[in-house]
Amino acid sequence: MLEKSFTGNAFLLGDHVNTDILHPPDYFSLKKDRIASGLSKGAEDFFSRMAKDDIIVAGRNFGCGSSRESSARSFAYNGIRAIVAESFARIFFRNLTNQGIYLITCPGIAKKAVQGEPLVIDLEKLEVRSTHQGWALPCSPLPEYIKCVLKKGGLLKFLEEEIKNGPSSK
Amino acid sequence: MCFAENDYAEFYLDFILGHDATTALLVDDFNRLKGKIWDKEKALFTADHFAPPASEERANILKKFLDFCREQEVNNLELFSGICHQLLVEHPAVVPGKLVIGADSHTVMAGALGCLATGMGSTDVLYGLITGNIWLKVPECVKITFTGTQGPLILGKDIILKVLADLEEDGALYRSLEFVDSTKNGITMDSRFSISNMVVEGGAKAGIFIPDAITQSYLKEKGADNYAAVTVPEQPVYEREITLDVSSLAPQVAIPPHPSHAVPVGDVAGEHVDQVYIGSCTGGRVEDLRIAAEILNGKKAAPYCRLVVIPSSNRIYLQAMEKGYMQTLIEAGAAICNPSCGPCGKIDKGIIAEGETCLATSNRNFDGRMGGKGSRVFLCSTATAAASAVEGKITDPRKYF
Repeated sequence: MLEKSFTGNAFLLGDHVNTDILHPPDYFSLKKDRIASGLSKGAEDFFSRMAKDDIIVAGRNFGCGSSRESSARSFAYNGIRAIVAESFARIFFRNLTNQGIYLITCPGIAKKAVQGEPLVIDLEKLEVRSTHQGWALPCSPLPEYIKCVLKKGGLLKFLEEEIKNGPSSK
Repeated sequence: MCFAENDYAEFYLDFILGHDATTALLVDDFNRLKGKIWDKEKALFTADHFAPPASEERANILKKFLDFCREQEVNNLELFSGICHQLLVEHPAVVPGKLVIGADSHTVMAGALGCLATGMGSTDVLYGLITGNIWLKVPECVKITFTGTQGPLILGKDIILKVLADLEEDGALYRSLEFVDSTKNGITMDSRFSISNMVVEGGAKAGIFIPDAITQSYLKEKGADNYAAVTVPEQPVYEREITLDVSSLAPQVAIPPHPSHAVPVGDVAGEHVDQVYIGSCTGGRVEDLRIAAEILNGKKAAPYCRLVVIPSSNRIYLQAMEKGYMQTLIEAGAAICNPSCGPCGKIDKGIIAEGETCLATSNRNFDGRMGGKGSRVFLCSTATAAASAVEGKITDPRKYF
């Protein structure tokens, strides 16, 4: 089923955070634990400072750079379910979506959110709001195709369903 | 249902590219789903990242890739014969008008041939390999027209670095760039490949050159003469139109940590370099090796300045040998490695130490891209790289013209 909301504390990252910072190429591996351990092991290890229920609030062009899916998988393997950003880099957006991670584009969020403040991502009202400060910012709706992929838990499970039921099931 | 108007849809694919590393990552899921490749004529697999492997882990990744190719009885396998993006454009099936995806961000390079070619991750490519389809959205288009006359030793690399600097880091995000070459002498095919290769550094989905006589001549040479003409609609809709007069363009150098941070070479001239790398999918073609050989002819790389040269494919390597370029480069002190991804992405030989600086003809200069913490990569054309190797510091190549 499609999630209706996510809650957590804002963990701020800047603009143009690239895939080499998020998951350096030397952590490319076929081993799940090796991929998982590479998250944010580039220029600055931010993940070790993140609490379990923190939500990444990134700036513009989050995840620019490589198509190495190990970067996206490292987010999924570490239990990250949703990310908010001003904008996402194209391939990274696809890779995370395919892993079943909810990517919420919310213009203005990087300037609005304060480090550590409790946030609600409300996918019914299509807004991100601060429970303490009272502000709310509109976010872009999830496209229909992406909703279908997320409902299944990622592109792989979406494909499994398609193989089982035929392409007309889409 | 999953489809809405003017939104994501599924499109039929014409061609898929997969390389050893990112293909190996999809093998377990492919096998679990008992997948079959939808059309083996339309898939090219290349072993180029770990070519040949330099560690046991990489040997295992390569084996996984090769076992997959063997079990699937793939039609097009290139083993250690070049970098995937170069092999893709050399493949006769890759012609104007095709929709091409590849499991690597620099797949956009094939846009130089008038394809809509774009990079994706392993799971997207797995989906494409099994179904022959992929989810996409028609992008907004930005038209970029090149005019004027290229000055001496100004290459495609200088042009794209300038375009990226003008667009900034995400100025092309999700967009398709449409390139029209209206320069007096025409931009060479080799230079066009460098231009399309780097559009992803501005966030673009594709960088498509409108095919012209230069494209046709390249296609004829590679034995591809059966393709439909690609034309621009009568009333095209562009988000923006940009004209770049290349006449006054100076050689460009991109300062780390982003390829769009380009400045004229004069702004960084004199910066010490520990290594010069001429190669990669962006800057290791015959034009690059010719210019490097012309500049380095009879000269030596500066003392303690390591010069690493990697041709982009075996076809290029052989041509450059025939012309004598490789001999000249060896005599100038270059270490020549076999066609492969080399030190880009810290993959293979040519990695630099903590705090060192490399001047490279490749496409990314993120922090630590080619080596240890605090190491830096500056990006430039082959002309600038070769001239800088002679002096051991960043140098305007035009003094060697």
